[in-house]
Amino acid sequence: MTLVQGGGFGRRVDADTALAAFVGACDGELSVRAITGAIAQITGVDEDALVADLLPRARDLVLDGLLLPA
Amino acid sequence: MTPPRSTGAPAARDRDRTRSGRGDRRDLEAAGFTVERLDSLWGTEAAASLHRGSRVCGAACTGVAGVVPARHPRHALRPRAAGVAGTRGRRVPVGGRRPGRRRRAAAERHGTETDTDATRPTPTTPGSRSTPPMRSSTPRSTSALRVRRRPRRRQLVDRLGPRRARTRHGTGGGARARHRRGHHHALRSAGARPGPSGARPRHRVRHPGDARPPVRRRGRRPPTSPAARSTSPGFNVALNGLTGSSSGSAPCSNPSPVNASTGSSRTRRSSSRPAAKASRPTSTATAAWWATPSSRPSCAAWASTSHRAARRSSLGNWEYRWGSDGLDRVRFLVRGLRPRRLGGRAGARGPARLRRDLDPRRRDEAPAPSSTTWWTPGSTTSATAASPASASGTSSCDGRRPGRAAGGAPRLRRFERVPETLGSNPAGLGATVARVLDAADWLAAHDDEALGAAHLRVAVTSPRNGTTGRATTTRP
Repeated sequence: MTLVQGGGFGRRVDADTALAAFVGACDGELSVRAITGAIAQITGVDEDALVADLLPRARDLVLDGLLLPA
Repeated sequence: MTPPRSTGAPAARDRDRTRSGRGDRRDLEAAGFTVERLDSLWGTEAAASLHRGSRVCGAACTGVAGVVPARHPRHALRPRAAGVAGTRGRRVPVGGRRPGRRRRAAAERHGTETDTDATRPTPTTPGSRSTPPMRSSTPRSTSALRVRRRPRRRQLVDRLGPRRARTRHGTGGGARARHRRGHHHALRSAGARPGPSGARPRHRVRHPGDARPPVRRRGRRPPTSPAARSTSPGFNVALNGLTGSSSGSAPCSNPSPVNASTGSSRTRRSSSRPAAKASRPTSTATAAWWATPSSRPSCAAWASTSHRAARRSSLGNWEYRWGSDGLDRVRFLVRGLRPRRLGGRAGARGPARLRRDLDPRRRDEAPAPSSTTWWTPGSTTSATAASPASASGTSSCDGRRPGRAAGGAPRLRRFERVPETLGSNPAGLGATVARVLDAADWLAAHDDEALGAAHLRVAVTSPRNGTTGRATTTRP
């Protein structure tokens, strides 16, 4: 799955299952920690490892403008 | 070591080869790979554009040593008018000087005149006078060697517009332009020859800005003098129909008021010939600078005044060799920049200062320790960024100076390659860059714990389309 930015620089970010689920759940209601905990529980992976994997990429998405602070 | 010999007789080998060819032909026909089928697939327009059915000069295809075609293959591919093919398709030996009367008589005595294969140099008969091997063998074939010696007026285009000038070569392209030394007059009416070195004038013309008189040419020598290439940028650009060139005096569609040709010294020398640069298989790196007033205290304040910065934007283009990483060159240039000059004062002083700042000869200068130059990825709405050549890889970076940031060191510096064009964006990318800088400030203020507690949302401003599976257009 590829996240495509329709404006700006037109970023394209390749997203795996965890990142796609994270971006899909980012609607401004749940915190990042809550979303990562839910994804870790659903996918059956370690939560700390998932957080360590997702947070840097979430920072990149915020920097590129794909995610905005709610 | 003796090479293995074929066991079969020549006749048997030919027979086998013929059978094999027939079998291949049957296979192709059974597969439907026929000319008619291809024509039906292509259509008449495609077949016409591919010049199918047009005959090509034989010498152009065979490439016999010492023989040049009477017409260039490119010319031969064009459909000919009826009745002209017999004369223009004639193959002419190199060195087509019309033999003298005594040599023609000697050739007739020794029978060489009856050699109808004009594509090969005529062998000399023992005992006779040695004939240069590159001479014409048939007197009649030399009729195609005539070159119009009368000076012709040719249409020339330079930055002052179309005009006419007399040239020694009265050639307008085609068979009549064939030089006796085999030099191909590939120039058309405008006088440009496309090639690896770019467009260059076929003849030496007197430039309005050239105080030297044109050099008279003896004979019909090809123009090998570099002085023949020294024409104005507008001349080459007009000939090649280029737009978006980075030359300062070239008529380009670049809306930027500043054209700063930067790069190596070689590029600087060739910057006066943008057409030659554009014809080389190189990519283009684009850098844009938003020259912001140095009094802006922070990037947030700059974001609110981005339209002011956009008005003062400047553009610099340079090229790099194929195979090398253009981003390394951009990094090298950025490292050698002096942010004090890159800021608002540099933009206010015009392109000359920018060019001087980006001069690679000054790259050894150490940057200021209190560097506040911010480099963010992206591009502008320049013509270079929207050109098809940039689809193969355009290195872009936007730089701005948001003021004296706390700490003095640049906090954001990204060099990346934009994989494709960004399309037309009349509003520019100033707002996008401002948002990126805001996000950088926000991220700098949030560590991992704070980020984990933050709430994020996807930057989607338009609702999803009703159709399932359709991509959502986001415009953050």
